[in-house]
Amino acid sequence: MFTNLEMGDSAPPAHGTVGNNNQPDYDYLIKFLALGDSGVGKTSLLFQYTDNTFNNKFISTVGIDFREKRVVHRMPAADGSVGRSQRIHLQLWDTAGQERFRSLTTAFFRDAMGFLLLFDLTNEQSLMNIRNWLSQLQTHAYCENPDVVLCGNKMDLEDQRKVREDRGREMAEKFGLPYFETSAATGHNVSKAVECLLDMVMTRMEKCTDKTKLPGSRQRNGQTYKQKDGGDTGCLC
Amino acid sequence: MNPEFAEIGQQFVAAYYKGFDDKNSRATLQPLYHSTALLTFEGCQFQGPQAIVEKLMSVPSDNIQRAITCADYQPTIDGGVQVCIIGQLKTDSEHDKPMPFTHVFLLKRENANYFINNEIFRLALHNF
Repeated sequence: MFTNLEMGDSAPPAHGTVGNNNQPDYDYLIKFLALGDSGVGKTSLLFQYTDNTFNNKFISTVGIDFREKRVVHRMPAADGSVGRSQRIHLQLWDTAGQERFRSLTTAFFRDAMGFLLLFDLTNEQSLMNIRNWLSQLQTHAYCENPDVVLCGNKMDLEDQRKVREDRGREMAEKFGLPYFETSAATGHNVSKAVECLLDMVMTRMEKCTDKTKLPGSRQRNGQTYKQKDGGDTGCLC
Repeated sequence: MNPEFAEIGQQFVAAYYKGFDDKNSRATLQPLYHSTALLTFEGCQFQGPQAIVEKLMSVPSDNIQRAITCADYQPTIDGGVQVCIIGQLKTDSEHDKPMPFTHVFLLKRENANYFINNEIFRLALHNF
């Protein structure tokens, strides 16, 4: 349906993810990675967000599970009015259980532009381990202060709760992260958390006129995000 | 060299995974390790039965389902058995997909018994 909008677009730099002959029908490919201890509900949360209706792909020898979802993002304009809209192809990467056996490697973090960092509200240790995850992120992510949203998951299990809301919030504030209490079971705050992260990543992109600071700039084989020429990203609304 | 190396290897593999895959019985593997045993688990090294079993117990999956694709055995010069396995495993999370792995053992013979002297485990994942 969007093919007419792709016309006249100059060929993007070579990408690994998109065939050169097929112009993708989106403006940005955004990759998020879900992190956190085993069993905090990363997979369930992504499952919930993608409504169980989208393909999830598992590359077994690579050990990455990812789900995809298309969203339209509207960048709020400086004056508060609704800005232009952008078609986003979201890729949500999951650790696929490999973190049970080993620590994640640098390559795993590469290319991810935003991070959903989860702990389990019924498991105090998973909150304590947030520090470790953040230090891993600082080491491995594309920059030292990547965009991260902290989620205290399983808020539906109120009777088993071990972490009070103010403790999660305190941890988030300490590291300057947005905080959501989520439930992958009921869907509470799940979309909000992902959308918040998307806002942060898109805002960073807008601000970054110097492209070397953009997510993906560390990747060896060229950029990982797609940005069309200015004219093409224009009004789709 | 031991002519029964293949039978010994097969029995060992069956007993080892039976013990490992249910967390309740994982600690019962400790007597299988020789006091000089070495484990390299995803690149991390552990020495001695106690440290090794602690590591095994720390793998956060209560039940592991396993499919052995193939196992190869060789007799060693000192009467032991070398075992090399490739297979797939699945953790108890309903969402985790099967993951390929390789597992290598060197079994040492002492009197009429066999002990694990060397063990190397890796998930066969390539996102390095």
